[in-house]
Amino acid sequence: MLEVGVLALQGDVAEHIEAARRAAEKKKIQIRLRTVRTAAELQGLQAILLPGGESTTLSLLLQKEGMLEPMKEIPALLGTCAGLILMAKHVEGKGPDQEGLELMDVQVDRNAYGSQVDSFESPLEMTGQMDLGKTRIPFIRAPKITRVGEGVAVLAKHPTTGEPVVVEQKLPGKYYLGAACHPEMVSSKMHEYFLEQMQAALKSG
Amino acid sequence: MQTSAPIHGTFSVKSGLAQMLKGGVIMDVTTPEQAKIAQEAGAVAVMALERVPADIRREGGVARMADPLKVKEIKQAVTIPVMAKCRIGHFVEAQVLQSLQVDFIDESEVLTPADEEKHVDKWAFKVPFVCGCRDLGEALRRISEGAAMMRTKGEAGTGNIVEAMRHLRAVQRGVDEARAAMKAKNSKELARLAKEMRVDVSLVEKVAEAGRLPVVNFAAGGIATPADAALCMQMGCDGVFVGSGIFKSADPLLRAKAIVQAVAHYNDPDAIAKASEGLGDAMASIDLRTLAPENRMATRGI
Repeated sequence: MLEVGVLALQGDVAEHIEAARRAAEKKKIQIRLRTVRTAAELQGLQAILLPGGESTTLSLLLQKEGMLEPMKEIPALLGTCAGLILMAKHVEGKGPDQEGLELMDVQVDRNAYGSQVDSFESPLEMTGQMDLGKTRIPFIRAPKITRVGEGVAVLAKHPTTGEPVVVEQKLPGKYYLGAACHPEMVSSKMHEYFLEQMQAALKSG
Repeated sequence: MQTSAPIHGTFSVKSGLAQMLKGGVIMDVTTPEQAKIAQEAGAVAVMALERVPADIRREGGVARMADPLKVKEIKQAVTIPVMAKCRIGHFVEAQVLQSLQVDFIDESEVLTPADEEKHVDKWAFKVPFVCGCRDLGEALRRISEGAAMMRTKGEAGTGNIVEAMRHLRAVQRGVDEARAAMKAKNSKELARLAKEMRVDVSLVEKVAEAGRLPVVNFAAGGIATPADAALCMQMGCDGVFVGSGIFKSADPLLRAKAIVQAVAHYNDPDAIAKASEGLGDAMASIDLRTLAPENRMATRGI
């Protein structure tokens, strides 16, 4: 039984819960899924899902709860949009109070695709093991991944600009998966991939 | 349509932003300085306004869309989404707000209605709209017109939560009725509900299946304290708008932070208690029994 938390302070929490539930069912992986709002609730988690939302808000709430440090100890993290910003080692254009987890060796530029009129949906160009098919994935005031570190693999690219939009990093006993877009809104495939990779990482650790 | 190119302004892109705002607090601001305070406090978005509802109420006259210069200044001051209000039915104010690239347009009863016959055709815009409702029928009429997010109206600028509660309960009652009809496989009743609400029956069926509104629904109108905000959340709404409640209170930053805390931890009375401590005076408030019908904003719109 894998212990999977969903950070539930703000954002598209229900969408991640639903995607994770469907993914576990489809892949026949036993998970215990629970929402998390305090540092105490992080106890015993093997993975945590970081929803899309407002990264400044999430950062402030996480700092207030003292959740950032204990979250770094969790073996597997999946983050979309704001969740990716929280996971990134380098963030362009962040406010002075905006602290993150600084786990994944990528640089992201917040809201770099512009304001809401520039938000879009598009199929992705798949470049790794994960396959989201031809499903159109929403990008909502999305961040751009502007630099990818050496240990980071690009799993999907923007179909016309070729910018990386889904990335993963494997470290001994750790697994990080981040997306600038929102597969959880339309598909459970990213969560299926995450659960499988996370199992592998836990074994290797 | 089969295409591999990015598409803008689809309904899922528009309602997607509302999904990202869930569990958050959207705050009314009238200056860039206030917008910065809201962002610092943890607001998920700000509503750029000329005057907050309490002042619109006090000063009277026609309340219109904010000065574009003000909207631009507020947009420049923060990185969180910026919303702005247009008058009910004033599709040119909406066009102007879209041209200013605001992130969300609130077709709002807080401003003086421009059209008493028709609301804005929201399908015609790339920018998503949020609209007010008092019951399920009003919500579904706005969704039929293309609204990507709803908010219960409450009574803005009163610091009194009673109307927000009335509207949240009315929406839930409508959802329950639709569910009961669906469960009983009573298609006549579903058709009757749709007719009464003046919407397509497929929309009522969608509500019955999901057991909730088909778009994100925030509470608004009269939220003045952290406990008010948590009350709305426990009633089942997805987040809250706080209008006059913050910048008409004694200590806006402290109160704004407290309301953000109370919404994030709405099911934890200890956290709400802690957030509610020592906030100073709330905004000046109004007993709804003393408010004349012509001074009510919630009854505006069709």
